[in-house]
Amino acid sequence: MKAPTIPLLSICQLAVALLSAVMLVGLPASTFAQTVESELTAGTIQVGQAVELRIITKGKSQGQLLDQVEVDGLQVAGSQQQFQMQMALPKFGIEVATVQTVILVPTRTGEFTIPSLRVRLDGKVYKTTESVLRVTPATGGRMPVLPAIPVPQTGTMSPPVTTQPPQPSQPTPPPAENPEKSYFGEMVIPKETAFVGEVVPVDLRFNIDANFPSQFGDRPNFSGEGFTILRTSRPSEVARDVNGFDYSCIVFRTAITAAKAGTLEIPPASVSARVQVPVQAPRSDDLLGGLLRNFGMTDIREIEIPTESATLDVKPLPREGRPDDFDGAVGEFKIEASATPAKAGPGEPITLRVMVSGRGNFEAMGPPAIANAEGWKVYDPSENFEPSPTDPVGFNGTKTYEFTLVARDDQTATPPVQFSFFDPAKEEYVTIEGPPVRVQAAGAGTSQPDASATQPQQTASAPTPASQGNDLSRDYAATNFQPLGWSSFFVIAGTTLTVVWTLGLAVLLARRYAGSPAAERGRKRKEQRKAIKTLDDGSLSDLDFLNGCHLILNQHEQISPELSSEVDHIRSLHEKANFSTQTLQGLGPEVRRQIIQTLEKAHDQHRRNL
Amino acid sequence: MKHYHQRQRSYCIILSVLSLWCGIARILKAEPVANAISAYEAGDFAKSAREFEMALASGPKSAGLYYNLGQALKKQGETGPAALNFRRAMMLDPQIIDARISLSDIERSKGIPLIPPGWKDQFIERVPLFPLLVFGFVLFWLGAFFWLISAYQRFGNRLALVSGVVLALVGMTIFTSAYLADPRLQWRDGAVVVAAEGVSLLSAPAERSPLVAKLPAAAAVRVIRTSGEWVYAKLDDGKSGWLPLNTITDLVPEK
Repeated sequence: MKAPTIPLLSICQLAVALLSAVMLVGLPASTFAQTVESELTAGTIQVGQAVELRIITKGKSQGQLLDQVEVDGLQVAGSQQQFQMQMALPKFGIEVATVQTVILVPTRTGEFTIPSLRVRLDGKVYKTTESVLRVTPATGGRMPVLPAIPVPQTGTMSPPVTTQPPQPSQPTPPPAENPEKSYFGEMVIPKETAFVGEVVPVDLRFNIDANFPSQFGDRPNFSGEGFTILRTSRPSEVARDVNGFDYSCIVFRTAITAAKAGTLEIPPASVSARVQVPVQAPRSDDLLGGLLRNFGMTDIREIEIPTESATLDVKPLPREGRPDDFDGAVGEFKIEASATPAKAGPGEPITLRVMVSGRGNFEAMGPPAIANAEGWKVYDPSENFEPSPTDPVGFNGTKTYEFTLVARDDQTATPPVQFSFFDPAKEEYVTIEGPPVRVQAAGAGTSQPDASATQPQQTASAPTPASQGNDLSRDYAATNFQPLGWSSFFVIAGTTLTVVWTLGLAVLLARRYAGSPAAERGRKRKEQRKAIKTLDDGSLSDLDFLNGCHLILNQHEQISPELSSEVDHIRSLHEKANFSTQTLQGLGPEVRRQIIQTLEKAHDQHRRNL
Repeated sequence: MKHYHQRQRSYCIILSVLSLWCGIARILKAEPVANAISAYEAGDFAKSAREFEMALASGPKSAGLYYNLGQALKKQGETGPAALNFRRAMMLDPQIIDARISLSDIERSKGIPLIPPGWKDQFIERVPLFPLLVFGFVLFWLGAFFWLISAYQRFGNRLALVSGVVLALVGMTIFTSAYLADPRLQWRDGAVVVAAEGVSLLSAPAERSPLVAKLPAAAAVRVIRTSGEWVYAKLDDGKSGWLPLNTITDLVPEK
């Protein structure tokens, strides 16, 4: 048997064909490295909070998630897919990046391991890495979790209609033939009863057949009476499967707060959209219509997608057990307090920062109450709300109140802060307290007591601006602008005491002087002068006159030389009169005057010498 | 006995008339204050301010009344006059914390820089002045008389001599410190800019002279001297210049 011969040309042709096939198929495949990554947007979250699992693939084509996330305790709240095509210039190819997002909401605490998921990319199946999610208890209360949007059972995600290339030529019957029936809206409210003031989350979902490229308005039309609407989130887009048909779903998340008790009728919401629909032929045998449809010609239609209305049974807040300082807060909260600066001088303000965090009606609630504020002057607080980054609606977050406090007396700690709210889950009022913060504040002495400070409960129940007149002084002690040191008290008392003290001092000095030798000498001089004057009496006998002169001269210890002869003469006359046998001739008036003058001179000289 | 009863009756009548007169006088004096408070509570701050001014003009001055007048003016947005009256209240009662806070609010809103308090300010914020003056006065005179007594004893009693000198010196120091710290004395030459739009501090008493500083309403100055319609004033930061007389009001009101 002869072996079959293969023509050489055929072999060469086969080799060329194989090489071409490798170049055409194998080269691009080898130039694009496929990557599959998965990540969680948060490693630790609280029960009820949402987290996103992102599976990012890069390759020649879109990645396709083959598995569903099935973890006990994690609820899949939605999913979406985005892809991006870019030219890889050095390799002359197109790279497609696909991000598939699965929104997970934990229903219980614990540590969850999200298993590896299979992804089909460029004809191959890859596996993602495992992820671990820790779930802690909810600190902000148990807000109702919205029911998840059902995801397609097949696990294959339809790309968003806004980014998907138009596929009018292959519509999914029957919606393609009747676009008005291929969209619908839903209003999802997770509970049927609520309390006045309670924040109730609402999902507004607008669905359009995924086969029709569409563009939605930025905001839904949603309003009504008897309730207030919180912020509306930016729309998120997810793919859905409803009764076997793929829908593109736009979700607006918001929340409402009922203002009064009773049955609350919530009117329908709506959103406008522009939909691309295939050009419809008037008749089935219309050749032009069929051609247009086959060639992808589309028409743009403006439509309004409404939701159905809803009702909510609103219960009033109970009267019993209502704290005096309750100011409308409904939800579940915790408070923290801090104070700056830690040390303040007299009159210097201290800022007491009270942070109320949790979930609830932050927009409607009043500030916490300052209890036992005696010794402080408390000013109305400023407030600032910071929503939680994961909450686009604004019922999760932290509201910060900044009270300005000024110490009236020396203080070592700020007054305690208390905050009362109604917990709709427990259906009871709760009062929580922030402990005093240690500070060192010097008081400015006693002043008018703050009316609000002496009545803590009133402060608590009405912390907003105090009634007019409370900030007035009631102390009208009379005074004047004259410096206190010049007051009549000090002038009169000072003058009186000065006079008394001066008199005392004068008496003291006089007494001191009276006992001094100088005073003695003065006295002697006075006596001498008096004695000299007595000598002037003409009735004295010569003997008495001379004896008097002798006594006076004896009191002078020193006699100047110019008077010595005259003094000697007087002394000789005295001796003659007393001791001599010779009779003394009578002293005439002239002699007596000369003697007196001599004595006066001697006296004056003696006084000068002293 | 009959005369005794008649005299007793006449004393009673005189006392009754005096009591009645005192009561009427008190009511008459209190009426503007009560009206002012009522107007304030009703939100009629202009009327309240007028009534407080009337009470201050007709009755004795008090820190509380000046503070209340300041509050009423502040509520009307008249920051300059409000600051003036808060400062007056603080002059009369350095420890009136509410006036200090309100003044601080106004100064912050006007961008007036905060001057750190000096020793005198810190002193008067902590210590009541009048009792301190009395204390210093009594100590001084006790010391003076102790010294005098020791002098009578020819300074033989050393304890009396030393305690007398020490008491007198301590008393004089306390009295002098309190006297100097008295805001009535410190701010005797003080004035406040009351012009709502503020005023320019100029280097010469002429409208087109170079600008030294721009003073907002409620700024405080110290008046050095007055020349015609101009005032030479000094600021706490050391700058000095000329201001139109009609833009400021003295802290010490004219009698």
